[in-house]
Amino acid sequence: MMLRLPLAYMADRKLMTGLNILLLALAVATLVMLLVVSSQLSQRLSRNAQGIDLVVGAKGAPLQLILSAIYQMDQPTGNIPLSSIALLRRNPMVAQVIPMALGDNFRGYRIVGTEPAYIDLYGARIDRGRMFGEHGEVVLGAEAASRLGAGLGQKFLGSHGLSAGDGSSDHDSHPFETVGILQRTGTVIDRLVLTSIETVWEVHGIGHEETAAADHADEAAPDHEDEDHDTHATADADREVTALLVRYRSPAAAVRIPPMINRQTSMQAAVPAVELSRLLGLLGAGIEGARLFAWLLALIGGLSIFVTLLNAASAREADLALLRVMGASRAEVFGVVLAEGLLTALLGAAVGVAIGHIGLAVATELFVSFKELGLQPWEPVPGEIGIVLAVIAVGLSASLLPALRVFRMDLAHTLGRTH
Amino acid sequence: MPVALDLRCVDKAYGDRIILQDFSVTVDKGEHLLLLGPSGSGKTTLLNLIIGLLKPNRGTIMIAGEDVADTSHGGHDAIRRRHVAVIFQTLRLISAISIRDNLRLTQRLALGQADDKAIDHMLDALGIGHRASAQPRSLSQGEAQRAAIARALITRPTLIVADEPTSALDDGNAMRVADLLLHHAAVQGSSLIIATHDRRLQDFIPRSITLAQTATPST
Repeated sequence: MMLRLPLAYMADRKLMTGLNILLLALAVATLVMLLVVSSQLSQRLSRNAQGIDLVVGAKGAPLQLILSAIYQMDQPTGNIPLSSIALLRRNPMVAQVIPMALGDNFRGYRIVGTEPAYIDLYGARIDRGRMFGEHGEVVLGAEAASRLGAGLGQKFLGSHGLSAGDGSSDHDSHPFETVGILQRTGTVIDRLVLTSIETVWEVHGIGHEETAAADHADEAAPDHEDEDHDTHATADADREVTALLVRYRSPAAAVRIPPMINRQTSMQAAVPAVELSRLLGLLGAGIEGARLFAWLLALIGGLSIFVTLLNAASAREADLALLRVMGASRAEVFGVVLAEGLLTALLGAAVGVAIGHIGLAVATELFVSFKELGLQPWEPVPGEIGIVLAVIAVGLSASLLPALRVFRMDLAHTLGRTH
Repeated sequence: MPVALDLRCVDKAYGDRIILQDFSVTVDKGEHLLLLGPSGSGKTTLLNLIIGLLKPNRGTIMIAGEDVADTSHGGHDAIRRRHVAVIFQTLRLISAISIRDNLRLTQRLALGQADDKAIDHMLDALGIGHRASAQPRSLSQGEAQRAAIARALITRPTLIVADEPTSALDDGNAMRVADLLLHHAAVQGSSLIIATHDRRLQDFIPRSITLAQTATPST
């Protein structure tokens, strides 16, 4: 019954209790969202770049090249000649070169022309079906397959552009066929539609029909937008890729290869580790600012609980004195006030954690950038326990002073004063 | 006859102001006593000494054989739990919980567990069984008065201490409350001490002590 009393007092002041819980919940939700985003972001950014020492692409912003080639987030910087693959593969310091050709999407999921080695890079395994081979065959990442509801043998048309909103018309004459679905890896590959580079060229009319090529200049070769695309027609020399993912054979390559590419070719070499650290540094400042704001919110929530409990304890002094007269010990009455603060903080924390994850789930559905980041909104982060404990500590601290006041209460004086 | 309350040679002063001096009184188990006197005569101070909320400057206060004046805070709590129930002039029902829960809480504190059957029986006996689930603020004055009496009686205490239970009531209601209180206290064998300046209660309780400004027993 003594345990039910704090609940009864909370229910007796529904509005104030509700507002305090809401205030704390908003602070906790903000902190949880920041924690999940920052933790998953750095984890996913690192995991997706694992095994890639260098990215080679068209000249432009190195961060943009990394974002588009590794994380499939930004527009590519342009295209590079097919001959660049051979140039790098010939280099004895290079262990592996994986080419990528971008340009289209299927309902917002990027279609990436590449080689099976790209799938091996992320340790992905075929869950159902087989690896793409013939022209027009695709393998779907696990998330893309599940969200698109795609099955083996299903045919679909790709759209121009790298995201659903970019679209012009579909590639009516070049349907893709799903021949395989990958197991979930928790990496960027889960959200991709993978096919051979030849298929991408074919869809964009490179090396085949002259008429089709013009339609795709902005996608397959965005830096050649205004050129006469008839030039793509037949020659291998005109075939291009968007980027190359490079793995070194020896550490010495890190010193030799990027300067060589940047100085001696028309391409640029971007080091994922460097760009990643720069990106996390930039994001980190924003996240820290938001985190500070959220803790400020939590502090305001704590202050609000303090003021509410102090007022409530004053208003209920007679009740609490009565409990003492009825035989309740000082500790029991102290506990009633403390429990109210604790329960408010606990509810605030629980509601906040729920709002935080629901908010992330909604954001992942609504915002393409969140989806592209591959955030898992329901995946808990260990640091959430720390947030919950900190908020409980705030609630307990806020209720300590009112509880102490009740603990030290002069019963005869209180009952005499409140007659 | 076992003694419910035994005060011997009790002095109580606030600074230089003497409230009680060499005050002694004994109340047997099941006996009723009226403490009369004007405001400021020390009635409430005496009740607070009995309940254990105040300590005497001198003397002993025994309830059911246990010395209230010579125990720690924990000891006071235990004696109150086991032996004493208080009825306040302003009733002091806990407004956030129902009447039944008010009684449950009292039982839990005094006896360690609640007995819903006994609670329903008590509320029925006092004519407010149908209001058991109501919040105190929704009760009429008469119903609230009965609920406060029910709360005092529910633990079958050795001693019931009532502070001005009828002063704010008209004649009819005052008689009804006094009648209920005395009847149920007698049924349970509880001793009853009523501090009041309401002389109407003398018709119900023959034994009384009148406190003057510096109190000494008059009977």
